[in-house]
Amino acid sequence: MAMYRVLHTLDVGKAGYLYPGSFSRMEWLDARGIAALEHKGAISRVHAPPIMILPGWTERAEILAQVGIQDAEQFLEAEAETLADALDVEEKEVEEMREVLLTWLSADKPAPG
Amino acid sequence: MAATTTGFNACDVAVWIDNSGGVPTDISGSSNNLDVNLDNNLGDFVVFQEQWPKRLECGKDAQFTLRVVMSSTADEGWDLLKDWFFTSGSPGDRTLTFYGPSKNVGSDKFECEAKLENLTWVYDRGEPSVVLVTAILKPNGAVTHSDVAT
Repeated sequence: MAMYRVLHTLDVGKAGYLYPGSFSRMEWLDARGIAALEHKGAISRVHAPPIMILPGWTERAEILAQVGIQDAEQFLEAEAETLADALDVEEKEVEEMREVLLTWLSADKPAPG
Repeated sequence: MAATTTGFNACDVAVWIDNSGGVPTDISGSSNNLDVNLDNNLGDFVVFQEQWPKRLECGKDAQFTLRVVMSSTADEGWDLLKDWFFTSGSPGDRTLTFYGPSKNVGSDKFECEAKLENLTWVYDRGEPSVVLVTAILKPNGAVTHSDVAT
């Protein structure tokens, strides 16, 4: 599933809101829903950066390139088990790396008001 | 300039207001008009040797005029507004939420905590159609806008 950058404040029901600049897979929506939000300019497909350019990721990127993972979107989408095996770490650490990656890709939440 | 092909009407607008228990309640089926006024407060001034005023902006406000159908079912628009006004003591705030053109993904969602300022209606023996009630609501705090994504 593709990655999307949020451009308008989105109401996501009980989960609250996604704010402009944040990053989501919009996995709860079907293709029609995603198309509606794209058409309105509320989200746009992310062109994820290569992980090689991320601070401290050079060595990790070289290893991941061997299993076909070259950009941030591929890293976020790949099976955690595959990544854990390639990097020789626990799956939990892979999830932590993903959290860091998402933080880098997302803008700060806007101040209230 | 290409003519738009995505204009919409208000047929499927959805209006929700909290009931007395604080539960968001869909009153779309017992309301048929919502007049929305969003104000950007401007202050203008002119200076020597200038023809045109300058304007500063400071603050925003809104007013919502809601028209509901008088009906006898609990938790429909009339029951809810009547209950709100006649709450013992101050009626207080309730959440007003409305969606357009519908509640589907991609629609606009507007929301605020609102106070009920005024309720008016007319009992007219000569009018065979349903009695309509008009309510004026004003936000107590910010009105927020988002796009529906669920």
